[in-house]
Amino acid sequence: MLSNIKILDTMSAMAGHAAKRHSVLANNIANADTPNFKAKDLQPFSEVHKAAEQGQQNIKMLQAKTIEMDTGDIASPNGNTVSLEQQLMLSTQTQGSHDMALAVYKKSLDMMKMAIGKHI
Amino acid sequence: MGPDSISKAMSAASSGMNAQAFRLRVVSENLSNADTHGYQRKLVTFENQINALRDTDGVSIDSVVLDRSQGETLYDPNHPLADEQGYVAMSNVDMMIELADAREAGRTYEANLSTFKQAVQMYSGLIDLLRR
Repeated sequence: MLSNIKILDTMSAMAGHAAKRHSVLANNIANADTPNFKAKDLQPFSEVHKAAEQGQQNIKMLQAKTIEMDTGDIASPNGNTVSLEQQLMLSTQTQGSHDMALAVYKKSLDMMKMAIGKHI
Repeated sequence: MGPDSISKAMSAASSGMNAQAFRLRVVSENLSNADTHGYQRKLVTFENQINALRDTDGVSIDSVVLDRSQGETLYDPNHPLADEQGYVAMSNVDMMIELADAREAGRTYEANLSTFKQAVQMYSGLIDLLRR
C-alpha cells in the first residue's frame, strides 16, 4: 500500500544504502592491519538515484556496486590503504545519512496521518 | 537489506575487536617474557576473512610466527645458563616496540568499538520506526 509513494521508496532505499555502506566501512576498519588490503566503498547513493531516474525504474530494485575507495596516496608499506581517521569520519557521515533517511520517512508518515485527521 | 547489512557491520566490527584483543594478548605474553633467556618474541599476522556461507566479511588471525632475530647476549660466566664461552642469550623482546604495538592495538580496538556502537544506534533507529 505504501510502496507506491515515491518518497518512502527513496528514503528506504537511502537508509538501506547507508546501512550497506556502513558494513563495508566496518569491514575496512576491521582490516586496518591486514597486509595488502585495499579500502572499499559503495557506489554513492546519488549515482544510484540518478540511474533510477534515468532508467525509469524503482529505486529499490537497484543495487549499489562495491568499488575500491579512492584513498589518495596513503598506502602503508604493507600495501594496506585503510586510514582509520578517514574511515571513522565516513562511517559517522553514513550514520548521519541513515538518520536523515529515517527522519524523513517518519515525517512523511506523520504527514499522511495528519491528512487522515489524526493528531500527532 | 537494511537490518541484514547492519548485522554484517556488527560482525565485521566484532571480528576486528577479536583480532585486536588477540594481538594485545600476544603483546602481553611477549612483555611478560621480556627477561626469559632465549625467548623469541611472537608476531601476529592478520588476513581478510570472507565467510561465503553467511556472506560476511571480517578479519581473522592468519598466523602467529616467531621473530627469529638474535637477542642480546651478555657475558656472565657464573650464570647457570651460560655457554662454554660464558655468554648468556637474552630474549629478543624490545619493550618499546611491544608498547607501541599494544597502543596501536588499543586504538584499532576503539575504532572497531565505535563502528559497532554506530551500528547499534542505526539499528535502534530502525526499531523506533516500529515503536509508534
